[in-house]
Amino acid sequence: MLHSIYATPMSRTEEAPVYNRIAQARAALGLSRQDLAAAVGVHYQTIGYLERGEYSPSLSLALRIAQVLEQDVQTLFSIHPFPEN
Amino acid sequence: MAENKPRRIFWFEGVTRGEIERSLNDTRPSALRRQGPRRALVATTAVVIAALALAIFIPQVKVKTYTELPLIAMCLVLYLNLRKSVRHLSDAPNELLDERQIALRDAGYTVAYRLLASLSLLYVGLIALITPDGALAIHVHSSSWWNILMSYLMLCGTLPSMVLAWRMQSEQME
Repeated sequence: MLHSIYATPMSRTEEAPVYNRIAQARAALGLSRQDLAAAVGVHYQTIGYLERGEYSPSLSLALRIAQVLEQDVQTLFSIHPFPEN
Repeated sequence: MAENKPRRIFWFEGVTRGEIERSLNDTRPSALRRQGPRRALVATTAVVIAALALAIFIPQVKVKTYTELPLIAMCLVLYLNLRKSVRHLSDAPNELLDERQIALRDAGYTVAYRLLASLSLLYVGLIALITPDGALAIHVHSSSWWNILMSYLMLCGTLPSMVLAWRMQSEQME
């Protein structure tokens, strides 16, 4: 019973991971995490969580990130792991 | 139409915009950013809140009073540090947080509510224990209700921060 109390996931990432290439796209544009965070309107730590795959963004945030990074959303995000370069 | 001025004080949440923004953007290293010290803080707070309730069993009124006051002071100090350790996430209004922070806070509140419902039963048990006409009717000083009430209020106030502090991972340097 106690386990079920504590089992409330902290984010959707734990149930259904979303992979992304935010770090590569951000680096290609020469943006820092702070720059990207300010452009999409989130805290700078949230960009770190996204890049490490520890948080899955809402559709709205994913679209905003894709717009700022000048990419299609499906190029940046996937429910399958991206092939290693 | 005139633009709404951003609110500086959030009365219902009991925080100010400046306080939250400073806390969220604080990049200074602190032990409270790591999970271990944060969990130690949570455990200490839990012990102090429990001790405040259990102080009703101290028979000497003078000793009981001298025990209560430091415990209440400790509770308040621990509460302030707990808030700081979670960057005031548990008290911040939606408009100062992003979607990840809101999700984190809300998941914490869900767990805190479930825990509070379970822990309330312990307090009911404690009250049943000291009720003069109750089955157990342990003799305690009449001011004991005050201890139980203070402990319960402290628990209600700190539990969301305690749950968040316990569950949050150590922060990574960005």
